[in-house]
Amino acid sequence: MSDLRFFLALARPDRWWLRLGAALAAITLLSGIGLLSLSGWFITASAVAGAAAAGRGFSALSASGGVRAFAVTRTVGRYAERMATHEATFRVLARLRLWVFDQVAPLAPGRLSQMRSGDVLSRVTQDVDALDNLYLRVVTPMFAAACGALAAAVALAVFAPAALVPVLATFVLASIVLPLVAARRGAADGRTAVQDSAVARAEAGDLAGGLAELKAYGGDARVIERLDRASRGWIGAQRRLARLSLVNAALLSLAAPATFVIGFGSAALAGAPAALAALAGFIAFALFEAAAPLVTAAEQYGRTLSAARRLREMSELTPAITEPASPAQTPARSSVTVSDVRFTYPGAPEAALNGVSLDLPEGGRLALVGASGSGKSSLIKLLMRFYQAETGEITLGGAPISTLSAAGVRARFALVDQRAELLSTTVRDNLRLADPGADEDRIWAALERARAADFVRAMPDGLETWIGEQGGLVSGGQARRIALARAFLKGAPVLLLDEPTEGLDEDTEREFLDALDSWLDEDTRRSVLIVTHRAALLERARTAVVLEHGRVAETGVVTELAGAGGAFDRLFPAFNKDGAA
Amino acid sequence: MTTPAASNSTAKDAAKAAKARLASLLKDWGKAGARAERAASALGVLQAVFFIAFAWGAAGAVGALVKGEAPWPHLVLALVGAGLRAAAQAGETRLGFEAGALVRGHVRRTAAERLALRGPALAERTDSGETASALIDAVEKLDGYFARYRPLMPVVAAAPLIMLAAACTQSWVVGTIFLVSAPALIFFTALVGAGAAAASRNQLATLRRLAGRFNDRLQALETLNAFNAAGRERDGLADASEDFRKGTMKVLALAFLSSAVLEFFSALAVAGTAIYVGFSLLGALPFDPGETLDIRTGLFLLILAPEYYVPLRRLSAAYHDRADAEAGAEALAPFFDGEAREGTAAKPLTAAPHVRFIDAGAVYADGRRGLEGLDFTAEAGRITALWGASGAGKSTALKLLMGYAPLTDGSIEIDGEALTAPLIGQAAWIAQRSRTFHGTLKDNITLFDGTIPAETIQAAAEAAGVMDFAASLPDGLDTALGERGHGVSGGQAQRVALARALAVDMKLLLLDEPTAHLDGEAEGRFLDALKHAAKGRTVIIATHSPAVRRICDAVVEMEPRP
Repeated sequence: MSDLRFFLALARPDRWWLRLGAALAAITLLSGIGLLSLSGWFITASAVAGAAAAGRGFSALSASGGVRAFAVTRTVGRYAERMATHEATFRVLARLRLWVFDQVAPLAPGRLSQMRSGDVLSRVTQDVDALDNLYLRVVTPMFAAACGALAAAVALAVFAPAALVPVLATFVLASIVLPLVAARRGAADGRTAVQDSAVARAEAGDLAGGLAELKAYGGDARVIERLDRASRGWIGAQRRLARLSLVNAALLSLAAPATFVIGFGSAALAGAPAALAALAGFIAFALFEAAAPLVTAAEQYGRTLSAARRLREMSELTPAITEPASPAQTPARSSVTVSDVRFTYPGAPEAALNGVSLDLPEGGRLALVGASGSGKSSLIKLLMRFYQAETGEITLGGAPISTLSAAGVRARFALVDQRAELLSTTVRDNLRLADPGADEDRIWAALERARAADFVRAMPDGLETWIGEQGGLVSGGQARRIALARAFLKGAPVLLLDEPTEGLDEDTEREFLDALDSWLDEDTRRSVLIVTHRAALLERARTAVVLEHGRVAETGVVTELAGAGGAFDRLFPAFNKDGAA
Repeated sequence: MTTPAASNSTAKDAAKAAKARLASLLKDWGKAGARAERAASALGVLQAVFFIAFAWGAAGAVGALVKGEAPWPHLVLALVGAGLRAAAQAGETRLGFEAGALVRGHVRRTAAERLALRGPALAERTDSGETASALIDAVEKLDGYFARYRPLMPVVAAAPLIMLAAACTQSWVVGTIFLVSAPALIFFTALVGAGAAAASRNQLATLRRLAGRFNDRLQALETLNAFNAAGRERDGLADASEDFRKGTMKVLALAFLSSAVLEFFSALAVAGTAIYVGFSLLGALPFDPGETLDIRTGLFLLILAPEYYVPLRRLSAAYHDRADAEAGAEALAPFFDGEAREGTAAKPLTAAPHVRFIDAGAVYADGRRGLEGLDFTAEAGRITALWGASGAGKSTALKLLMGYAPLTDGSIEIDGEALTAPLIGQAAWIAQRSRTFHGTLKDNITLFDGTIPAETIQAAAEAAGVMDFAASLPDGLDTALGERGHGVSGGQAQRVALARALAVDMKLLLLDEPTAHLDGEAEGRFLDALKHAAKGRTVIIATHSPAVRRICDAVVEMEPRP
């Protein structure tokens, strides 16, 4: 509950919109109750009055005026309510998203990757959507229903006191107690459904992603069978869930007329006049309009509560690195030294880096090689201040990076990693990530340099082409070249390249390396660190560091390492013979 | 050159044809749940009948009390009517669910089968993640349409008519109020709704894009931090949300009018009925309708009035179900395009075959040329390399043998006989990155074939070098792999793929750049295993790795196509 209050407090700046929406929802509901019960009373009273020859202070005109007024307030109220609640929802949703973004940004990637970031982030977005329901589908209907129940209680207490307790008891039972019980019972099936859907998704992924292999062995039929089985299991869980909400809906649809009977019957039993007994029956009947949204609220409540709890827990996490309280001025020079660094990923049994030292002076060209899992990428993550070394020291321009601001350190490095992640936006905006003020000329120069200009020019909208989810509309090789152009555009003195030419054909790779050479030659203070297993890249490096199981196995000038019979030769046995191929 | 006007009209025709295609797909799929759907509709219509019984009983009870009679028999009728209606509603929802479930199960299975028949070309054209998501998410999107929208259509047509008839038996004036209000309501809703519906669909698309942007930026936070750009993106998100809110509220102001019209008419009918009945009972009507109402009839009509509009209201709530289903069908349509026939089976290969390509060429369905004039012979029992830079058509040549690419020119001979059917089930396929399937290590070797004996699997795993790493896994060959299981490295995955070929004793191995993603050490280990495995088999490897070339008996140099 305190978690929900926390998020309601987050929406405080928009509280007047929230209140207006809830108030209008209540007015609409009350008008509905008023319309039906006044009409019912009016007809019955007319029959009684008509039978007893009109008169005796019975004001047909004012009653019919009331009926008409309720008809209008109901229509207008509903319209205004929908406008106000949607305005409030959009405002709160925007606020919530930005809040989440602010909480998560400092955690990425160091703290997030520790928790399977894909999982965590997709859960975050689902949780944000769930919290979106908090206001529209939980708080507002509850407030409106409470107002409706209160008004009904007052009216019944005045006109037909005998009906008060039976009517309200039925209402609470049918619209609050039963749905909550059902929601609790449905929780387990909800979890099963989620698990089953994940299994079905995995099978579908296997079929689509492994079709060439599956078909060769006739395995496609077997995977389709597995997908079908998973799909049927999933639908079974959905069926059990549907059965619960079905029982709710049926009870609800029974409860409204039944409460009419209860309200009317209890008033009639207590000897109330026919018109007032009818009034009691109609009030009860109309009150149930508020019940259907309450059932939804109960179904949503558990989900919303756990979403709120998870988001709050996430906001209390601390980043993987600690920023210095008063960071030192970032030095002018950009030489990098790594001395005796040890680093273990949180929760990992073994150290990823175990006493690694290396130098990347200004103008340096260093290749970092080693089998996969030897710690190459980990070192880059430490340089980028995504993680913090346990012991040892990394310096930039002579200053330990732990004394500098993370933003200052990151400004010195331009990173192209293996995934070459592109944002889902235009080519131009992807490049401007590196430099928001970059003009047309500089953008094209960077694209030319990364050998990306030709295919960008050939795209339907050039720089304005929207590259889809995770850069889906460009091939892997193209994505990498756009990412390279972005790194060039950043203009940082140290390039960090993690398998930069993977996915490029040999001609393009050569062109790219030439471009890299010319970029480095332009300014003798520029340096590059290349993680690679491709021989062509090694030729362009001056020095190499070979990592094995998180330790430096060999280090030296590339031409001297080749043929020396050490770790380098084990990795690149063909370097001398075929290196130039 | 076409004139702009002509191309405009062809674009319109194409859009129309695409829409008709979606409608016919949806209609076709609906057959799977047709019986459940019809039963759901019948129960939906019955609810109207039961509600009339309730209204008659409830009104009778009040009438009896006014006359000083006992209301109880009437209240019993009311309760029975209400109970039956609730039961019918439950049945309707339940059967609707079954209709949706039947259709989803059928479509998911059929789409998967079509995908498998069409081969990897379809999955390759789009991202395989997208293809998989079509099988899961697009199919789920069909649910609302088949579970709610379609069963509701007959109810919308019949239920108001039944209630209208019931009202007319009691009062022609109230019947007229009902009769006139329904078409007027539909007319006004359509008038307001037509423009608003289109605008709100656009807005919905914007909303999805906005949510998509938020998700995308969250996923890309590492990159954003690397560029110190998280703050800027946050501001961008804030601006986009603000723009979205303003734009959407303008659209909604119009869109909500259509539901306000519904609301207004239903309120008006209740108020009109109440006032007419009341004044008629008082004998104070300004005109003579030629009918006299009593209290029971009056209340009956009053209770009936709001219910009269319920089916229409339900339809407007289910409106987006249709748009969702169309979006789902659009994502699934490529699976169902064109003819897909089960091919004839290839003659089984019982010994290492002799493979000969004669002037072979391939043009893909989308017009891309994959290969031209390839001549070579792969001798039985030897390892042959297809050597060349990417783009030379090496992979296409391998795909021709499996039917993954169409042989459009020249011919291929296996042991001197022309290849007429793809070698499905007869040749092993090892890709650049072998997929790790969701299952145990053993499942990954057998590809879920339960009939392969355990000794065979063990022997294949040993020969392919899988046991080198499997021995140290917690459950050996029974260790679960994949997303939520144990991870394997690229080199290990390639060795698993090799074990797969050995477990079913394939006589022809096709390898498509098998070491392109491996480092030197992993490549060496894979090639050692391959050299052993190649004995008694014909092996064709597409590659540009010098290390691979060194283990080959013959090399076919392929030139890049101009």
